[in-house]
Amino acid sequence: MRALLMRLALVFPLLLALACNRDLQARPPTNTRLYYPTGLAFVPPEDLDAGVGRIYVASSNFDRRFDVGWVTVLDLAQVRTPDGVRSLPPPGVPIAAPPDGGSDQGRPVQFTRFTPDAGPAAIVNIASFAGLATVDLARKRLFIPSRAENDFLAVMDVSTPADGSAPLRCFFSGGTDCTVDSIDMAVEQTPGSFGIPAAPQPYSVTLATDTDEFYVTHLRPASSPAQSLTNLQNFLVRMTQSEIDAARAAFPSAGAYVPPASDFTPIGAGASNSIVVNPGTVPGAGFLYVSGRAKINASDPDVLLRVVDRETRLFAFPQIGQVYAATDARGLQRHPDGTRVYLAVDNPASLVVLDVQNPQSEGFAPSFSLVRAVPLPEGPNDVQLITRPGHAPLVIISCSVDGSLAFYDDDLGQIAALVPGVGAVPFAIAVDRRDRPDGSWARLYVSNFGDGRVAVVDVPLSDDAADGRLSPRLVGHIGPKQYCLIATDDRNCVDTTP
Amino acid sequence: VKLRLLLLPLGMLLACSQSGVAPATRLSGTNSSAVSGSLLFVTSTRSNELRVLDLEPRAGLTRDYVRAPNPLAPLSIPTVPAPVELATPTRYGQLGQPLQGDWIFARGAGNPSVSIIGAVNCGQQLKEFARISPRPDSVVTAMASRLTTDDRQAQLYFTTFDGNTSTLWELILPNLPRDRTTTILDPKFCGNYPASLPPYSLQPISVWSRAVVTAMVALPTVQHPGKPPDPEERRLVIASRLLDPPLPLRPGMVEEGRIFILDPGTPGLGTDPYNLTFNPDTTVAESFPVKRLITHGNVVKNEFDPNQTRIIYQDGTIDGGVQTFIMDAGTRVFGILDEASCGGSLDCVGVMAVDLDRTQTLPLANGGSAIVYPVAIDGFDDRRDDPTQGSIEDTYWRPPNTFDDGGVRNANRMIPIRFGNNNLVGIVQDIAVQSSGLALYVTGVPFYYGLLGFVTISGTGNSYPPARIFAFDGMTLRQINFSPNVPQIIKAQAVLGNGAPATFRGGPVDFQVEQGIWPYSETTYVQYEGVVAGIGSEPLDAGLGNPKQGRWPVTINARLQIEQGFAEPGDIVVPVDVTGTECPFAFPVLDQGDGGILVQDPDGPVMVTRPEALALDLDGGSIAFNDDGSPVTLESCPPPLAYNLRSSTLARHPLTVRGFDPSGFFTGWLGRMALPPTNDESLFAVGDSTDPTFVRFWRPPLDAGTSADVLSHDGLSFKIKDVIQYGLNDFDAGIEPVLKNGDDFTLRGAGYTVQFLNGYTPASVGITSSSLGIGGLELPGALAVYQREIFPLPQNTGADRVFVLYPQGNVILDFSPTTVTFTGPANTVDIGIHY
Repeated sequence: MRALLMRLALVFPLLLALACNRDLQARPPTNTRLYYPTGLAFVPPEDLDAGVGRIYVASSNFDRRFDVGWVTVLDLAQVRTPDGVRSLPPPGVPIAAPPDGGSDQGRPVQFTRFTPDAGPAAIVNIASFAGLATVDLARKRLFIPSRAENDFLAVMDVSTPADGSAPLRCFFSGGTDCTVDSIDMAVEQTPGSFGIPAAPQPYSVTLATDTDEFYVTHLRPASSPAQSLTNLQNFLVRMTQSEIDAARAAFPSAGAYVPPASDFTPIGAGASNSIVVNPGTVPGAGFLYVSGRAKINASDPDVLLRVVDRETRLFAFPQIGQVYAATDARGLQRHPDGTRVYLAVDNPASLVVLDVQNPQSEGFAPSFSLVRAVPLPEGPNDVQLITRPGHAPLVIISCSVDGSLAFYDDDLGQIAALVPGVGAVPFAIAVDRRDRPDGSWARLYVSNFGDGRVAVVDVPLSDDAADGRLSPRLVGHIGPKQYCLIATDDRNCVDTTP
Repeated sequence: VKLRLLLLPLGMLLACSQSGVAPATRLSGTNSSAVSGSLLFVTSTRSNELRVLDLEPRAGLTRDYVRAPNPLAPLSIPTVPAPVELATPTRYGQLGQPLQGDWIFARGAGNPSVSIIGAVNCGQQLKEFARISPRPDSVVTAMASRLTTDDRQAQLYFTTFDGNTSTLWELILPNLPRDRTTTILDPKFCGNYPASLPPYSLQPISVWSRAVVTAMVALPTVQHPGKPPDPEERRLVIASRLLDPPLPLRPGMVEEGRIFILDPGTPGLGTDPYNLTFNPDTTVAESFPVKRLITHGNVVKNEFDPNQTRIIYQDGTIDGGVQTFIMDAGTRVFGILDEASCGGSLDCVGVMAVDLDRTQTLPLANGGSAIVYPVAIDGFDDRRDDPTQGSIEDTYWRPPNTFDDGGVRNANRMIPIRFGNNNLVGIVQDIAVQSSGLALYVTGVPFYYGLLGFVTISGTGNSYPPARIFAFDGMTLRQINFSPNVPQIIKAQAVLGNGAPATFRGGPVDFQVEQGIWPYSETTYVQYEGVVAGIGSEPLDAGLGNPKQGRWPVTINARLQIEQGFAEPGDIVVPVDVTGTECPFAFPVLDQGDGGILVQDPDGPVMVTRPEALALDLDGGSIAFNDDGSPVTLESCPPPLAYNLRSSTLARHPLTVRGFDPSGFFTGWLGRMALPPTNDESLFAVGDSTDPTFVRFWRPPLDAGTSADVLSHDGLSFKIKDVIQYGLNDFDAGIEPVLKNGDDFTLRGAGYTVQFLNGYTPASVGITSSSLGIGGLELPGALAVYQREIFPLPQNTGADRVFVLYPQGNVILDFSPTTVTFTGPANTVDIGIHY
């Protein structure tokens, strides 16, 4: 007996040691697949008549299977079907038939390879739980906030380097680990700090088109003192491109950039989700519209929509919930002429169409009147708007729980098309717009959070494309399917084995 | 025999389980419903199916969902993806009862197909028989369905839109006659009904370019009591929105509609040359687009003699009373204006009605004129429906088309039926009408309405107005007023700032108030140093402005109020400390030279105040001094955390006027008024043309033919006199002199209150989640009416039901107009809830 115990005594530390070693094993991001993709941005090709461009996809690493999240750049000309033969054509151009003479029979084509030889794509590391991605095409910058610890806003340089390396590197450091140079949006939330101003859980970035400003939304309210859950306040973060240019120059000496308190403006307690900037002379010029999620206290004004004066940074609550009792708002878009906004709300899932009433005299904040509420499939999230020649714009909503894309047509005043089966939990939408002599097309790239792929949907826009009929079609998926690794209430998640 | 004995207990088991607790249906997306026979079909949009509620359960049981073949589960009818609208073939009985056929049709969001569903409660039915998609590249935008008077043919009309062109399709299906003495189909006839789709015909009827069909209604065939039916009606009323409307558009119109009549049965597709005009401006020919159209059955008035036996025969004739035929089925078409067509103003909010037996010539915006079916003439008066006052005819009254001298009436066209005066009213979600509907009147007795209508509006239970189910009178075309009063002042008194009674002399006189739409009654405060335009508790904690330098930051809402001119130079800023207490001293706001008071500082707009506080009275140079002779400054106040902006005698209009509803809810800034000049008076008036507006009118109490010029545009007016003369030599102050002085902090907010009733309480069904114990009852949506008998009778209390869908909670709620309290904010009695 004693001998046995002695032997066991030897074995136990060994087991313990093994266990420790397992924990230390690195789990670096993978560059041959996406993993719970969220943020998605499209960069068009040099030649809009021929190429397909590239997309940047944030893998949110939702279950922390890997050490960090990451961003993958996919050169769409390089993606291939599993046999390595077929490639993704430009929007509106049919995908070649399978080489064996068969047919896809209308099913989406799976482009599981990132390169013809199933090789890797370039990636950079960012924090886990990435939000929405925003690309500045003029300055070749990509912004992706992440909601994990540190509340990082990652900025990436997406210009094509002269040395032929991939067009993706961290903006400040120039390296591939952007967790070392990301902007901490909530330094004040460090325990023991005053707490505000801070923007915990940054979610999206919106670029101003008339200035070099950009705005950051965030989900979690900041508390003061930090982590106290008292004095909750959300902030609108306004930064400028010149500000981060200076920070880039100073990075070797100063390290990661920390935005000054003057970049933060309180906008009341309640998450902000998306922002619309009103430039120039459109109704509402000089104001931002900020969509938000559920309010925190029952007695608070609802934050489905807020109006913020860009100059004075004063804000108002239009209280949309008083005219349409939804509890949560997500994506937001504005009609190009500024007279109307489209807000995806949940519970009940609807697209709320609001007319903007703009007082004639300058400086008056716009007010909103509800003009339509269109039922949507379950789980509306991202909203994008595409203009069409000769028709009202199309508003596209990703419906994450239903796994579909809804197309609202303002001509029709209803949902004009539903594309079901886009995938599991379609999250963000990026738009590739082509106006060619043979017609206008849009291609939508949709990040499927639940299945790890990017769905590709082609939408004819003009009368000479697909005979002018609105017939959006799911043409393919990019990336291998990740299956459903966790049980969710998502009905598209049928296979829980990887 | 043995086998039967064995089966019997099994059958009983099944029957027992049927009567068990209602299973959870997991409805998701209750966006549309339709009554067919004794069944209510409801969409579950997000699960792509319909559920069916059995409205006539066996005696003693509550209404429950029709069960699936496995009776533990409710029946699901899979349909086109995302069903959002249902239609069922309908005709109307001689007394106006809606009678449905054997089919339910469903269209989906963004879908080219229509589901054809068997609507009969039999084993082989209640399932989708087919989906038809005549244009797979289009989307179905609208549906309407009719049943022929012999019950043998069901007609479905639907439109598809392909991005440019709308196509109207006609689907003809066979239908079986059934016993119309009951809404329940006897199961012994189940064998007659098909188990698969019978032969049908489908054909395109018409095509329109650059127009979207937004709504349709199939006009019903008229069948008078005791007579054979009129020739089969084929006409449709079709509402379209023009994608390329004739320019220029009528001012205020962002989109234009064309609502027209089409007869698919006539060779050459006879289209009625006259369009329908749905427009609150009844003097123009253009129509707003409408998003929903409905019509009605015959309106027949039956006055029964209480001393005779009451008999209603199946052919619609009666014994024991007098029957008066009021209006043919399908004469009147109700439309919900499309709120998206007037740029967010109120012009295109509400329900309007058009009569198809009357025309009028009206001008077009780009010159010329058109003969149209105009907005219907309403019931001519604003009387309450009081059965004891001899005005019982009121609710069945339809003005003749001509005056006694033969001249065509063109007056008193209806005011849109809406339930609020601002954009907080949201949108009208749905509408339903019932011929000779019985409603429990405010007097506690059921009362017939020729056409009893209901609308739902979006909002929340605590919005203002609340999202309730509002009733309206579809015959006299007005809201139903449940207020027992005429507009009247019920209390006038002087008060201190804290609301305590005061003994000031004088006060408002010559108080006038018009009947109002909202709120029902309110209290008006005329205040000395009242808070200006709600600019109170303005925070100073953001570090903006510089109060010590007399620069006070303004919030966005305050800025808007100031820019609208509601604040004036001479108003005072009163600092508020951390305890919420106002400083005894206040600082007058300076004129910036142009009469405005805002200055743009680098960190935002500010108001600039004089550094010295305002004195108690205006005689000492109006600067307050300390005991040592130095002027009082902000240093004499506790550190301010916020400020209030109050009026003062230094301003041109020292008195503020504000409104509150009976529960103390601040209903609005009404404006400000000047002090009366010596031996003179000052007038305060707000109405539909003032800023802020005070639109409170629901129906002018004037008869047809009266010029609109004589109508008052003031919703509320009163005077304050410098001196009131009571008798020949009996004079008194018209306003207490202390209220004309400088800053007396003990009197801030003091003045006079006048509490009045505006004589208007719209009949509405209040529903709250808290009183019913179920969440999600904030947003009433689709409506459906179930009428069990051939004619509603008072003894059948609770039989007729109105079904309301709540898409937020995915709940179906039903009430009876004969048992519900139309003034109750939270009804709980005889309310059915299904989810």
